[in-house]
Amino acid sequence: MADKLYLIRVDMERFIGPATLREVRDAYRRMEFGLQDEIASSNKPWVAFDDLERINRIYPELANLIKKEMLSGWGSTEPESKVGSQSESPESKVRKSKGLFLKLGFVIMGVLLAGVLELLFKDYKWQDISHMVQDTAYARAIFYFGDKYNAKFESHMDRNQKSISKSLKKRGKAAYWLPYVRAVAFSRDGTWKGVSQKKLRGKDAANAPQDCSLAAWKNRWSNSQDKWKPFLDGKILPSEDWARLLVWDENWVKQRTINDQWKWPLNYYAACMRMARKALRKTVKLEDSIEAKIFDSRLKWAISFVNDEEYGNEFEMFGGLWSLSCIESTVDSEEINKCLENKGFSKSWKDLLDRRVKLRRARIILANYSKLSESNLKNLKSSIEKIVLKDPFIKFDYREELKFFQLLIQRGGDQESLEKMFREKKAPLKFEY
Amino acid sequence: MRIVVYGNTNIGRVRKNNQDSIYVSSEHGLVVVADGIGGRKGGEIASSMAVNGMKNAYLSCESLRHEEVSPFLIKSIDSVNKAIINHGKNNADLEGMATTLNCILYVGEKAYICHLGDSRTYLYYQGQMWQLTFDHNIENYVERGWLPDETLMNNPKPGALVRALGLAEECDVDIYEINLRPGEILLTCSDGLTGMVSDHEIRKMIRANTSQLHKLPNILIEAANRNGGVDNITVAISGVLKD
Repeated sequence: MADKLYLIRVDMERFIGPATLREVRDAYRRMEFGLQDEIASSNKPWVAFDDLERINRIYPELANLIKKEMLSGWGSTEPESKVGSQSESPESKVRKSKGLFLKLGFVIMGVLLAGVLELLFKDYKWQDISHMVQDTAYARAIFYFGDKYNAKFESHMDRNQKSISKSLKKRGKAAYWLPYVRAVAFSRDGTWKGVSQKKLRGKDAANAPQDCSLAAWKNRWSNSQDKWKPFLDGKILPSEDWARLLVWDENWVKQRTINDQWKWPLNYYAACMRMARKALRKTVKLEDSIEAKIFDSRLKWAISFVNDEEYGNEFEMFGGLWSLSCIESTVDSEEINKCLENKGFSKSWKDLLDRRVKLRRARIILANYSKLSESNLKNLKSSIEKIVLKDPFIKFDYREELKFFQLLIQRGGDQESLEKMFREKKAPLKFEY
Repeated sequence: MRIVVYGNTNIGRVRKNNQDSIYVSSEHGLVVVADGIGGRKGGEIASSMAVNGMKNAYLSCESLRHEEVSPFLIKSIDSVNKAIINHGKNNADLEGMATTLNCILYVGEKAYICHLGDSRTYLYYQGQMWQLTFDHNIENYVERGWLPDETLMNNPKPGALVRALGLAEECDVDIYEINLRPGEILLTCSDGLTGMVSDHEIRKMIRANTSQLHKLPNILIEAANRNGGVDNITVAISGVLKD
């Protein structure tokens, strides 16, 4: 039987859940709702958290959580437990050493405060903390965002839209607001009023389309429909953004998700894929177009891959896109050839698949062995010999990858220590194969 | 994630006409259910104006961003409310016509539910069910302290509506937002169902038919009719499916 689930009604405007008791507690800790909001379990009445009498009667299992977590914090009317015993000590005993106790008290409080601050801000740089102190809206954005994008964060950003847009024009402030603005923009239509598409993209994604807004993708999909079938059949590989995006190297994208300028999606490429898929679904009815359905599957697969999410066992694809996804999913070098069974590909398609196969073979070796044997090193060497510095079609730059492969060969195959060294040098790769 | 929507309306076993109206579209992600207020002459017309008004407003709108949904709903409902009031004023025999409204817009992975009156929307998930909307009737208002206790004593019908389309020039609509997940089912219905079938029974029927959602509206309508069918019955079922 499924766990007992609860639904929370926030501000009589939105719902959180259905959630388990533990998830309710976690949502409260993330400040997603407050004492004045209401909760209900299946076919039971809505009760406000602060209506303790009804909570005790209808949801006794919640009473403990409310007393421990919710009433012990701000706004509590419950008596707080007493800390320390100075006030209870007989006056005669403490009078002489009052000054000493006070000093000791300040020291203890200072240490405690430092500990609390350390705990609260351990994930932030001093620079972040300084921004948080100067800009309370920014501090709230960080706290509301928490671990992931959520409605409270989104409404906070909306409420502060004007001042944020103003901040984005100032050099010092733009950098720290941008990750949060990007999160909101790409959860909607890929735009933020007052911010150019170029700024939303950033400098480190120059080989991706400058405009990845929903509107731009709708245009791309609408204007390319006559080319979809020959593209899928492997007859043409048009030099257009939609075709490039569909054959992007997801592994390359996934490697570049260590980026403090992006909270969510993980980077600009992931954001573009998301917008492209959303626009495709708004432009074409998937039931009416087999091509659109295949594109949608490919994008869904690519997005899942980049986000490390489950996709399922089979791709709903065919042609070149099936081959590409198949190559990237294969974990055994011997199996790769099975991904290339279609014989009717044009030369440009064949070249693209060939480049991707070489990369995949190298990645498979890295994925399977943390320390490479002689024969592995030999195979790696032959795989990387023909890897190009920059892919001529998708324009992705493979210099970082090649540097890593070559150093690995030079150092006799000790992948672990090399990864460590690259990480210490803050290489922009994630090293996940 | 995709949404499938099914719906039906039935006159019931007692009434002479069906004052409920419904529009559902899986393609557009839209559900509109309206229940013309019983006893009023123009209930049928009011509910049909509400459904067509919402449908036309939504279909003529190219696309909606999340932040645009609430303003869109408020504006559309306001204009439908005015149209109903004006139509009533211009036709003496229709004056005072009114209707409830429950409307769901599916935008991305969210549902926006707008609500006036006592038609309801429920959420069903993993054998459990919640009433999402709040009935705008005297009984509930008194219970919440929004109306004085004497209102109940002075009014013989505790279920009389406080808010509905066509009742007043100022139209205050509830708009709820909920994130969807595969496996969830939303039931939108007129009080012809909830007055005849208990929430517990409804939940059981949904649980038994999660794999044949297309049959659920008729199954629930039949149950209401079996229990008396004293009012018109309208049921819309929205299923949230995995892609």
